[in-house]
Amino acid sequence: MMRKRLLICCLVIVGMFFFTLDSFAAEKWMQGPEVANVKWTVRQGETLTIGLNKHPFTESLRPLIPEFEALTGIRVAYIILPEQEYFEKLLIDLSSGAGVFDVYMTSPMFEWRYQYAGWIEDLWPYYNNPELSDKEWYNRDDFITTVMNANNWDGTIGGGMGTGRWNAIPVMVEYYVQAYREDLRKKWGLTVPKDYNEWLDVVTKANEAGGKDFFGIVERGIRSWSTVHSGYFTGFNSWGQKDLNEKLKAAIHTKRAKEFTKIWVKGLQEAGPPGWPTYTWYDAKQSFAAGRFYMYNDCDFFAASYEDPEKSVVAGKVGYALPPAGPDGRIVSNMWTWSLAMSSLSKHKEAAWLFLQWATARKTMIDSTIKHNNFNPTRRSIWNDSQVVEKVRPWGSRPGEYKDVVDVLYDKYGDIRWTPNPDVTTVGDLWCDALHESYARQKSVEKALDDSAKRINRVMKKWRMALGIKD
Amino acid sequence: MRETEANRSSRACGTAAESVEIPVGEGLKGWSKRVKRKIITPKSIPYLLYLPCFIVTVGILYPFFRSVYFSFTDYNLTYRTASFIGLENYVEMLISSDFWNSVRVTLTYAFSATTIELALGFAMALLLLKPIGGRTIYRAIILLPFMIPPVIEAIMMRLMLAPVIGVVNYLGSFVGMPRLGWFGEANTAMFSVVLIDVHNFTPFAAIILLAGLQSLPSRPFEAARVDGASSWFIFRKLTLPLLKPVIYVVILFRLIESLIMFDMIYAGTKGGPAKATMSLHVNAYYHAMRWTMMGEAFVQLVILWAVVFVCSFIIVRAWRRALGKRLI
Repeated sequence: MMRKRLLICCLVIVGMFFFTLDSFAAEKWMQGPEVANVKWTVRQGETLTIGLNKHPFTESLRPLIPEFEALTGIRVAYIILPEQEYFEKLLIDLSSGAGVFDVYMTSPMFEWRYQYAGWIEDLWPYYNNPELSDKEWYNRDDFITTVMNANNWDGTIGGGMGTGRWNAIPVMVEYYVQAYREDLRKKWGLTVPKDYNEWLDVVTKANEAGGKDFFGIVERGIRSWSTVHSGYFTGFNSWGQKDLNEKLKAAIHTKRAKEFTKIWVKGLQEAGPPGWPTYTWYDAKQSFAAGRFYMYNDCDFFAASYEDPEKSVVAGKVGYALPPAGPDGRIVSNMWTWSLAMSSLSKHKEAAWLFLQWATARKTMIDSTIKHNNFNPTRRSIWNDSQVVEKVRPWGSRPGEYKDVVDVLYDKYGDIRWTPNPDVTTVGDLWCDALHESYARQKSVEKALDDSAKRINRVMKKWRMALGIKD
Repeated sequence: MRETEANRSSRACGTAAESVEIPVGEGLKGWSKRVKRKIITPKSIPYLLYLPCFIVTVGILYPFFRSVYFSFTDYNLTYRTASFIGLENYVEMLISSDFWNSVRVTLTYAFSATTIELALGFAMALLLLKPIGGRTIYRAIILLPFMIPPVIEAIMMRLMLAPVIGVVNYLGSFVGMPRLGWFGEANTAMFSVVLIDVHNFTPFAAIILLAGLQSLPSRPFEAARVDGASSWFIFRKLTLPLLKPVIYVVILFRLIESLIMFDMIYAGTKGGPAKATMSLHVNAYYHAMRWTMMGEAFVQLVILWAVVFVCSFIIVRAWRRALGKRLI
């Protein structure tokens, strides 16, 4: 009997020991960098220069940088530029071999070009170096799989995403939703569009109901791939369409592609503001927050601005819904993720890796989300953290609406819809011309898409030749 | 052991010190005098005087010829290729409707901006010539837009002409002006960018023309007035012909500047919408700095250079002729 009790006691003690050990291990990755088995001060005294885009993520990172400097003794200098200027300045830095930036903000669409040009460092060797990384503390598996995979590419033109080189670490992710004025929807008896014909109907009615200084719809419009990327590509892909086909030829001018584009352009012409092609995402966001538009099919995370009463007159009046479905009921969303990458030209690569590891660790990222509004987080544990859930709960026409919508996008509908290739932004820019030309009524939608397709085919010709793809 | 090393080093120092004592200064002076005598000869002086100019010319021409060479290659920053492909880039460009659109846009922009600036500048110069009170203050005020950097001017105007939140449409609504898209509509974008060019550079034309008007000889004008010539006659038959060289100078500067204009157009419209303001320079920028297609970009810049060269050549020839006539 005594022996039996002793045995049970021993078993309980051993069990408790393993339980404690397990919970200890589980908690390590949730703690700050001081518990990590990383020699943070190994590059003390060095100075890093970081290239940052003017973006809410940047604003969330800046206040935290002194913590990194105190932890490592590495000085951090940064350059912040508006998006277009940023990418151009970065291109000059990388292509000229100047190597001013040790770390820079980027995204998979740009990584594909930089990888071919040899301007971006593969992060695997640094991650696998036990002197520089603590895998258990870093917990790479906590990142949302599609988002992390988007930053891995094996260089296959037309595929290969999620394997091969690890180019960058995602720091925020955005999907494309319908953000609309719930208060006006109720007032005017409108529905939340379930498909694109309904979408056209709703935004046109809202435009009519809103009067002279109010418009039914706004979308980003400048001559750039980004105009194609968000709401437009989301709808385009929900109609089952792709940018390029398997022969790497433009597929933007199929019958269905033209049908969808007609609806989109008509919406902008009939319910959009005059001068749509001057709108950047930033202008459109500000104008929506100023109460000038009924709907904006763009980034979900703009909710953080819309719902901030200091920055917005529509706080508490906005509803969020999944993008409308295509004719077959298919719902998708394109995805964009800002990531941090290391320049191949950097002279401080180990210091740069320490920065990347610190900036994307759970502790830093949860601080950037909770304290400084970095949405949407790329780590699942942060998105599901009770404080984050509580923070986003009021966003939407009902409690928890925003979270519910983004949850589905994270898990089911959101992914990068572009065909991986280094010239993807060129393809997007040329595609955007078709939207502008048809919006300006210079050409019919059919002709504009046909013309852009020809131009895209000229750009992609070298890849078809290199890969031996016959027309 | 230490002492030995110290001794050695002290000896070494001593040797070095001894070698310094050689009258190097005088030797150098003598050497430089001999060299000067040999190099600076009456025959070589013209060449030596030309040398700095030659270095500057090479400094300018080397990048130019390098660009011309790259226009015959498939130079791409991403793939770091620069293989010679002959006239392929030129042929592709010449059969491309985008290229011809850019040529049309460049010429439309340059000629309309120059014409308007010249006309308005002339009018302003004539007004400023009148002996009115506070003339010097007006002259200073009129120069203000010219002091604004073109990019700042474009950004400022973009805000003022914003279709929904811009002040111009807002104020226009009080007088029944329809809401215009300005930079955002294909049919008004060119007008809008020309407008900011005119606002920025008309003072330049006005000041040069004013200086020209002030430098005209007074005797022919006095004689014409004594003969009872009308103001219009004097303007047509005296002012304009005598001012022709100055007018050509204004045209030369403004036309070249407008043909190669980049910052105002890019900051205002980025070449859009629907390529309505896609000048050669902006198009070349897209090819080079967004798409990394340097070969194609250089083709457009070389052609732009040729257009500028031909225009400048014609204007300079006309200027010389006008100057010659005026001297006669």
